[in-house]
Amino acid sequence: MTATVFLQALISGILVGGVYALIGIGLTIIFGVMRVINFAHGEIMMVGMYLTYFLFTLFKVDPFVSIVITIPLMFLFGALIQKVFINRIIGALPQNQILLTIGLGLIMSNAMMLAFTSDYKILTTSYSSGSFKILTSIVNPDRYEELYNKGNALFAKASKREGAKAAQTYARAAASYEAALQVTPDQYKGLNNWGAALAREAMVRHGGDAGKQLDEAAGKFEAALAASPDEFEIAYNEAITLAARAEMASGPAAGPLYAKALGKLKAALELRPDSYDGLNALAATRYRQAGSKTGIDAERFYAEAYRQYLAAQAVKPGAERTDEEAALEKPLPPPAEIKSVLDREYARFAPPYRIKADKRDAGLSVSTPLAISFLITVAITALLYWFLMKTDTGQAIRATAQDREAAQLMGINVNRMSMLAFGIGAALAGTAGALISPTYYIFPQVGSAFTLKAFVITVLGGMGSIVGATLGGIIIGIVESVGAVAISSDWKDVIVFAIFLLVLLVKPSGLMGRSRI
Amino acid sequence: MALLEIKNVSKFFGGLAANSDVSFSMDEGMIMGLIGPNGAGKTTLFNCITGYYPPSRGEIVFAGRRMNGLQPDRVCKLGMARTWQKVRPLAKLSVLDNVMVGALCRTNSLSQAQELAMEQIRVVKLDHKTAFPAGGLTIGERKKLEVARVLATQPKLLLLDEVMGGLNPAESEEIIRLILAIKQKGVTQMVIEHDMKAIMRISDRIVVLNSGEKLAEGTPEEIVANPEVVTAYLGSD
Amino acid sequence: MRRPPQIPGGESGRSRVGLVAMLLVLAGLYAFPSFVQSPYALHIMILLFLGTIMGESWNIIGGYTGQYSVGHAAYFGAGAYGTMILLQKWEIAPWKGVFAGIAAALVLSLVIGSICFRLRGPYFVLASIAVAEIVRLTALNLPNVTNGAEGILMSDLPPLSIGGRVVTDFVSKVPYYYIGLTLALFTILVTWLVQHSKLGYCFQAIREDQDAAHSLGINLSLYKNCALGISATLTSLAGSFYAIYIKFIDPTTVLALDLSVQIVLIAIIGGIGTIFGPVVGSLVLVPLAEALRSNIVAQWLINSGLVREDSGLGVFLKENLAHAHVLIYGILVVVVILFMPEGVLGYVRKLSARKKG
Repeated sequence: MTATVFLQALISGILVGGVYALIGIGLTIIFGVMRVINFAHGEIMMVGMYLTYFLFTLFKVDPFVSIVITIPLMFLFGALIQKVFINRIIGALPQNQILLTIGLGLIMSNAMMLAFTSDYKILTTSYSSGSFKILTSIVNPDRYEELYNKGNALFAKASKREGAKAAQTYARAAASYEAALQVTPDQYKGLNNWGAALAREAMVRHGGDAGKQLDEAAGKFEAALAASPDEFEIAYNEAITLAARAEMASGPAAGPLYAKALGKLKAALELRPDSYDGLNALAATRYRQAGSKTGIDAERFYAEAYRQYLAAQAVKPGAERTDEEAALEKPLPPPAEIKSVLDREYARFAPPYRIKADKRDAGLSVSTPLAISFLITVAITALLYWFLMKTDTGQAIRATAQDREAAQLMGINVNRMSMLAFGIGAALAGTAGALISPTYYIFPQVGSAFTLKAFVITVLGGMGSIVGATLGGIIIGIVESVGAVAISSDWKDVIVFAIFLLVLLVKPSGLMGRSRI
Repeated sequence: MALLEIKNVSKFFGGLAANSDVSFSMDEGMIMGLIGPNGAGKTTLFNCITGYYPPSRGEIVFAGRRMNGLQPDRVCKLGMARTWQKVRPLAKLSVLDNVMVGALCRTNSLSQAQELAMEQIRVVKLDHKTAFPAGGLTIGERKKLEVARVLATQPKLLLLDEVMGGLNPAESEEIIRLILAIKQKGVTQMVIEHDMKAIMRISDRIVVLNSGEKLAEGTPEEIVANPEVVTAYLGSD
Repeated sequence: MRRPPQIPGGESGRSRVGLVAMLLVLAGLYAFPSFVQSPYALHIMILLFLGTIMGESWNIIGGYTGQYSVGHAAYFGAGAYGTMILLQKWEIAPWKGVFAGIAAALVLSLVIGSICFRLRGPYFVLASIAVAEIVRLTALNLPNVTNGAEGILMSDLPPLSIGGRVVTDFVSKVPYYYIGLTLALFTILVTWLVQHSKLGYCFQAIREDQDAAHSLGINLSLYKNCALGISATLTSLAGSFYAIYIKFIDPTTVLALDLSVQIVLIAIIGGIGTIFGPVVGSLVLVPLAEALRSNIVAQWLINSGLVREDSGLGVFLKENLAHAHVLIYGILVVVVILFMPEGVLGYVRKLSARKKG
């Protein structure tokens, strides 16, 4: 992990952490005032996400603007839940409170599923995938990135050249990637591009130890896949390299190599089933394999290559989308015609390599929607703080959190305060839902993961402490984001839960101590 | 040799001293009264003696054995049992089952435990409520249940934390007789109590705690005559 | 433990009637497959047994000892994966693999116990969830061992033979019926034994008041771990049985939080801390879920003429009611907690007591 990568992860961690903090603050206020742990918190957030989604798709309300509608609606929703359900179990066994809220969560997520199915919904705004750069004068690309960028530039140049000149330039690109990887090993993008450069050079040069070099290239792709297994491009590159190797081998050695290449291609296509390049390469490889066969085998393989050719045509970018299945069901033309179509398409065709060409510039990239949501989070948190500290109602809520009985004796209507607190908690969760909806999938079961996250955050900060929940949210955001790049994104939740257990065992009162709304 | 020795015991919570440098000892068979105004550290001392808190400083020696750091269950097994200021009945279990839980400290056999339990239930005169759930008892009955339950653990030393609190005079009188009857059986007792008349009547010796420190120790007569004790109780008020 | 067995009360006549009724039910259950051949009916019965096993096992730690673990999927998964991995990778027969599952669950319960039992109340619940999630994510991220998200499909179940004689080849559902029934009876027996022993008294004392129990000489961590160990063992049995019956497991079915919640619900809805509570819970939940899942309810509404099949509502019900069983769980648990906190069994008892008195 380079310093830039770390800083980048830190920034996105803090931004996401802001939203997490909002979820955590909601849970902590509810706990503080009622001593009820709300296991439906994530589900309430999910309701907020759907609300935002429908406001956007039906009424074209921008998700960030829509919080002025979401906040009051979610407040009412929360107050209603408190009045009807939670109010009856204040002071009951904590287990029963937990089970009741689990039940409410199940009702919310499954009612949502019945109403809107469990399909993932995506809310795409004009700025959903937007980003901007900060700190461009301070954060420079490091040595790895310089060499990597240089390699990419050379690769681009080489692909415009021909013959020996092209081979030379590919070789220089390969050398540049190699040097980059010596600075920082195991970068999958670098490995992928290195492999592509090696393979292209071997293919252009064609002769001598070209076969061996293709094997070497395939090895690089293998290593890249080990570092990042779900990249379609890398699997695809490895497959076409193996296909080229098979073609170079000819004779009986070619058979298993073709089979291996086809297997890889199919595996790659599972990652992206409608890739034109992928399907086209599959057709081309089958066609080549058919060329190495004779008789009925060859005819069968040509027929299959033709089918794959049709499948590729169906997804060809720019072309009119034909009904793929209908095309495949049509009877095949006679073998001679098939052969001629395939010859025209694939005889001189070499599938293009897909390199990772993203240029790493100076500065850190910040996602626009996350940045906006972070600013809103800060504003809301400040407002809430002001409300709790400076207004009479806010102080009454804090008094109730400190000592319910004493507050009651002092004439505070604790039932009203509980309803307010649950309403505020739900409004905050709903707002968090609205804020992440431009960058997150929306589906009925999305809540439970956030419920767990909310617990981790509040326990980390100290149950009942708003400052603690804010800190906890940002810490968890950072841990997730840095953990994902430092270790692996598969294990980031495990890291979060491990930290949670550690805090529970070592300092159960959390970072900020208990009950300090 | 003394059955229980408290040697310079201190207990701090944060910077606050709940007990500081308390020392006294108890002989077998006696009743020691422990008195003091609210917040004097009586219950904290009980908790230190019975293993709920480790003392911050000092030593607790019971029957010649150092008790510091032992868990409450070990303490009970070694023959020291306590009741709770705020009674803690096992609410959903019957009176008999409550007392049997105590008896099971000494035996693994249910039938033996039941015999032991019935014996103690008769001692506290709750035998008409054997099958009654403990959660439904009156406060007086709960206090008796609490005593029966600890008696069933067959303690050498019994620590009673305000067993007369919240009782009417008739019920208190019953408890006083019970405590004296337990003494007759040779069980040593340490009793925290607010009712001065009662404590003077039952105690062989009395220790007075004030703001966590031992203010005085002596026979009931000596304590009544001690001007410092009188000031502590009546003084600044 | 309302009435210890040693006290011969005036109820011996009633208990004798109860005993005879119980024996009749038992005989009926063992004879059931000779009268009913429908695989679907057998399937429902097997699910009932499975629900009972899960509910009873949770009941020991949750109902009797009062430690609300919402992470029991970890032990269920340990049983399921233990049995399945041994069978698929080393061809070790499930009746041996079961013990590997139990061993895995026991080790897991010791680890979880030593971490979570230092915490009380809601903190214990949260910790139990966190540990179970760690187990699930680990299974998901170790594809070499567990086959990851793809899960494990059982290829072939070797016939069970004792002394060279083939007892069953597992073609029909009948052998599963008997295995399930026997396991369910076994867990009920274990629960009965626990309740009528020192263990039961110590567990319930801990449930009612940990500090009081501690002061009465009960070693908290010993007895809590003991309860969790028994519970984990029985839950892993349920997991192993599930794996060989359904023949497919993956982290989202056998290790998920949903499953942990369902296990708790069976016990809660029936009534915790009683021997037959989980049986009642299983009798309520399983048929309900199955009726919704197989669209019986939607079909009934349409057949009864309440809803027209071709109306929008009819189409909607037919398509979606099958997914509603979890919704029903949610509604049930809310109703039970608010209106019958002692569970269905406790509620019925209260009603009948009110009638009498």
